[in-house]
Amino acid sequence: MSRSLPLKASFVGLVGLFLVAPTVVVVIISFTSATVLSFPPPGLDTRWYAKFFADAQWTNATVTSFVVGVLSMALATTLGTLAALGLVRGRFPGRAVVVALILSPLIVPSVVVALGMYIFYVRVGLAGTLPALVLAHTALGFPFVVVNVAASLRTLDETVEQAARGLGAGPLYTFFRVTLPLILPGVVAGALFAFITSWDEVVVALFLSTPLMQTLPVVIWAQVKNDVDPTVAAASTLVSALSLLILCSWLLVRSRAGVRA
Amino acid sequence: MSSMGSELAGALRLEGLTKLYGEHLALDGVSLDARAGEFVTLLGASGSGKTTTLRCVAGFLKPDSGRVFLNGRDITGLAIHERNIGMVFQNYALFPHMTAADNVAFPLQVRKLPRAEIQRRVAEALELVHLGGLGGRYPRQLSGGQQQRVALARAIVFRPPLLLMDEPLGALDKKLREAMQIEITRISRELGVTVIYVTHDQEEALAMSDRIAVYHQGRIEQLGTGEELYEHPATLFVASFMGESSIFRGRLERDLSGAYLANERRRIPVAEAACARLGLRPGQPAALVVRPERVRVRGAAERNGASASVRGVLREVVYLGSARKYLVDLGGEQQVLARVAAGAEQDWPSVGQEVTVSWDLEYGVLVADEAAEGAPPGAAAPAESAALEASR
Repeated sequence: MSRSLPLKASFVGLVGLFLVAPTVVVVIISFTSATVLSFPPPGLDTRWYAKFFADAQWTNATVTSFVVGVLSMALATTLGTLAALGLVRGRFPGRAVVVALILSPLIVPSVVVALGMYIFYVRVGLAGTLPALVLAHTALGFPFVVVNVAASLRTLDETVEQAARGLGAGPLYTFFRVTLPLILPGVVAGALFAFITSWDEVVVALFLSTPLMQTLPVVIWAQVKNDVDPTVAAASTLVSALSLLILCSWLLVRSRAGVRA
Repeated sequence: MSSMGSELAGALRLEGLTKLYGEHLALDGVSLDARAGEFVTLLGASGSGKTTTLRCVAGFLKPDSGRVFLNGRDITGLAIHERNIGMVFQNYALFPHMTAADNVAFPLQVRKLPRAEIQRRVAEALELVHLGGLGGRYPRQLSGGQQQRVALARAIVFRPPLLLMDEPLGALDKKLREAMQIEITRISRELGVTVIYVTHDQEEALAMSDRIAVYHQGRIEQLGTGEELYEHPATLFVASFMGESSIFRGRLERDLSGAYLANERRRIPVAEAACARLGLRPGQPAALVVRPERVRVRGAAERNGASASVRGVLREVVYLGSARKYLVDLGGEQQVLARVAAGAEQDWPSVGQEVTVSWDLEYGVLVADEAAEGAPPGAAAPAESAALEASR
């Protein structure tokens, strides 16, 4: 057991390196003093970050990404929580089919989903608009909310809700005062996942964007193809930083919830 | 009555409640009347329908047929939150994200009472259950008994006319359970609230209730005071469910010297009055129930017109401190249980000795013997089997 410990540790270390090395390389490149993407950098400089914040294309894309992320998160969280309530508490025929449909965006290849959405939004005349992108990202974030909230609901003691009803609380009052506070960790986790899903999503966004409405990942993709300006690395680092921040806040929520339970 | 008291204690009336779970008839025509301010316990084994009854009253279940009346008003179709009934759950069902005080305040906040009034009533309710000062604690910071008190305070703080309690002491240890029994009885009396209390513990039922409804297979077998149920059980099931007893089964016979319960082995005299009261006629199957504390055990034979006596062999003596328990074997799987209080005058017989067991005729309780009724678990003495060997 103890003899194999160093072996295990080095294996875990290798896997970890394999997973984070690409990101670390990008982060290091973003601080390069050179004018091209090269590794290792000849010197350190923060001018690419300055350029990122000075360039309207980048800042507009940041705002778009943020707006789309927040709106689709809000929609996915609301709808996903309602869906989870229905799936966990409800007894109706075809439940398994509904679950499969809800989870399908996780399983179907994203390029297929993107193509389908593109065709659909062109048909309804919304392609290239912000609402289309918000709705598309809502569909992508929705399953994460359903899965997380459903897990929370299953651990919730139903007699607590019955007690609230018995004490005179109507269904809505019971939901907001008792159910929602108790499943909040699941709702928050689902919401954060929904935001990250939208924040770093590129395939669907590529299909539904126009030169005037682009999210950060779309601009990064376009820039990488056109030139090798290290601003791309700075942008990528910023995208990763926010995702990392959200991941950490989720872990914090989860550990606090764990302490409470 | 204190200022916490109910404005109006509720009279509860159940009319022919039935509930079917798939093939299983959970409630089979349950009717019950609880007077305003009465403490009625629903007593029975698990699955006998007592909790199902309670859930129908609370509104968590809709009965398939039958009606529930509270103070004469039909509430069968009312939503749970419109019934204004207090309920204490077995697992307490406290809101884990609220402090004890917030838990107790919840039903008052739902009713949109003024803040000052809520504070005053919460403090009063917590005081009533001796939890003053612990209002700021979360349920997880309270012991099981304290959580139970919070649940009780929460259930009574809005002054419901009716309080339902579903095995509320099931999770507590024996000492605490007994203390809480006294506490709950005190509080319910103080408030004058009507209580429907569910338990499977007959001692708890006897200690707390004005009346007890004994449940068996989805029906109420008998409803009465503890004394009525114990001294005058209406059915063989109630007789064997409530406390220990010796049970003889046979048919009624009558001759010049009086009435008898007879089977292939023996004839046991019974009181004429008991036959008349039950409307039993000669030839009918019946069972005779004798409580152990009514049975005398003597080494010598006893002959006395006003008592029944049978001969047997003393098989076992159990010393209980305050009493001795004797198990006398009459042969053919028939046993008699006797309980003799310490200090009672006795010529202490020893194990293996032939003895006479006897009891005054008035303490032999006759019940109709419906063959369909199996003896429930916990019956002290096995009923005499129908196919007996020839008596000695």
